[in-house]
Amino acid sequence: MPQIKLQSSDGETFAVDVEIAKCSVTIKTMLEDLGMDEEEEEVVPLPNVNSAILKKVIQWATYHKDDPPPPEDDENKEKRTDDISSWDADFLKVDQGTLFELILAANYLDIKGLLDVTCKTVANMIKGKAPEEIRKTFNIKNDFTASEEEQVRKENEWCEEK
Amino acid sequence: MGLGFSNERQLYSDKQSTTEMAPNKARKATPALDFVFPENAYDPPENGLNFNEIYLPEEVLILIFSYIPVCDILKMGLVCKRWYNSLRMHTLWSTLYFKKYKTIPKPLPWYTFYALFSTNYFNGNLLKNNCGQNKFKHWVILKNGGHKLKIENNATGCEPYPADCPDFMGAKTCFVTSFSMSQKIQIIRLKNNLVKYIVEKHKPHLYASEWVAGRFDCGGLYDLRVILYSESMKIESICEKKDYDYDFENYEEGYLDEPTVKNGILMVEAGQLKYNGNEATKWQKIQVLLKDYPNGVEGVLFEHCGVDNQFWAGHYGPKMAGGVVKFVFESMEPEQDVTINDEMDVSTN
Repeated sequence: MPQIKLQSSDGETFAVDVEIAKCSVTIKTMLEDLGMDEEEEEVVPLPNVNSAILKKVIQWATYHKDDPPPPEDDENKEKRTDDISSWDADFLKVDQGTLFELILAANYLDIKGLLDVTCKTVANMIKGKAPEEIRKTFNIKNDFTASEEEQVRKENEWCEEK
Repeated sequence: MGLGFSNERQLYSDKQSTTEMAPNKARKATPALDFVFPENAYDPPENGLNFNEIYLPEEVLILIFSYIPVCDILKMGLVCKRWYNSLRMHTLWSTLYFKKYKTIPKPLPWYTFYALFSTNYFNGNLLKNNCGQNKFKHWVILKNGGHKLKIENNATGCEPYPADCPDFMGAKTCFVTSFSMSQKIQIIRLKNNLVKYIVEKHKPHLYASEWVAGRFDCGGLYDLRVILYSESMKIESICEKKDYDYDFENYEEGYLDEPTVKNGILMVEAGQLKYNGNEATKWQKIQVLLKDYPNGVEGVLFEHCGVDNQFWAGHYGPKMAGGVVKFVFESMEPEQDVTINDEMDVSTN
């Protein structure tokens, strides 16, 4: 199987099957638009992704290489966050920094499946948590004044009241 | 935006002072739902997008929000100003809409989508017990003529319900009328603040329908009336009226008499079916649509009645079931001056 080389921001290169690399729409487009010849084993520079993250991304893409294309969501299926496969759940048992770096890499490389599953994982981290807990978890500052916060709270109550 | 935000922040408008909806009743202030914080309000500027020093683009934050259950989503706006604003962006709601309906929605304000997803006013059926599954629960019987209204299991003398029609909610029962007029109503009060606000401001069309069938051996008359009422309507007096009757012999199109209680009735739409024996054994759907109604809607009255045309003892009159009342989300039009925070082409996803 033809391979290409992906080069991380810190200069490490990884040889990857072209078919696996092409799960990244960004790489796929690059290969097509730039007419990169698969035979020549060219090096694709990925200046936004470091080697540790690129390694994880390749691991994810290799495991999912035979997945059917992302299914069209069912008409009546709400977006769910509890449908993360156990392999993905294990794969994403990483520190918060790695998780967010993976999100950025998936966003940059345009890998929909990886972006969805990482965003779902973050959604699971924040849903059901109080605002103060969320702020603490991600080191976000409360930039509301007390009266603004109270007004937002009132607006929410008004909207949610049945 | 639009509501006069200044440094002295005024999140709540005092609109209620200019509406005539509730002169006597103290109403809760309506929030300025289209308010967003100005860009320079974020402190520091990247607050809410930095996750422990890692900066995520706002589109990713919105993608994360799209996986939060809608019932919990507004709470996220309490975290910081950036999150509050992001939750109000059209990108988020059009993503959620596209996921569910596979079409790109109109650029309506965020709160209309929130109401669409968090209430049953647009998707569900506001009519309860619509086939007599629970006898006459939720209905007020105004007139119980002949041998009185009856609930029939597996309607007799006509065809079965159309297969797999969701309007019947899996029920096998229907209401059947007799040889003198029977008439009942169901009162649907708009209880949800946000829905009331949307009805007032955006006037979504109100849709109502019901399935009707007649026996093979007897003709009959069926009427459906849907009434939008305001706060000054006295529901008790509607229920008390005794002189409301039909004269089948002289029945003509548009016979329906004016409601006896005019005060408080904002709009009435009617549908009817008049048939002779064997003409209506197949179930048919009578539908009405109410649009361009006045301000001040407090609720909806769903009223139906029926009688046979042979004056036969028993229950030979029209059968009715599967009534539906709902607002039509798609009928809403964006306001001219509405400000959309961003553009998004969902089809490229």
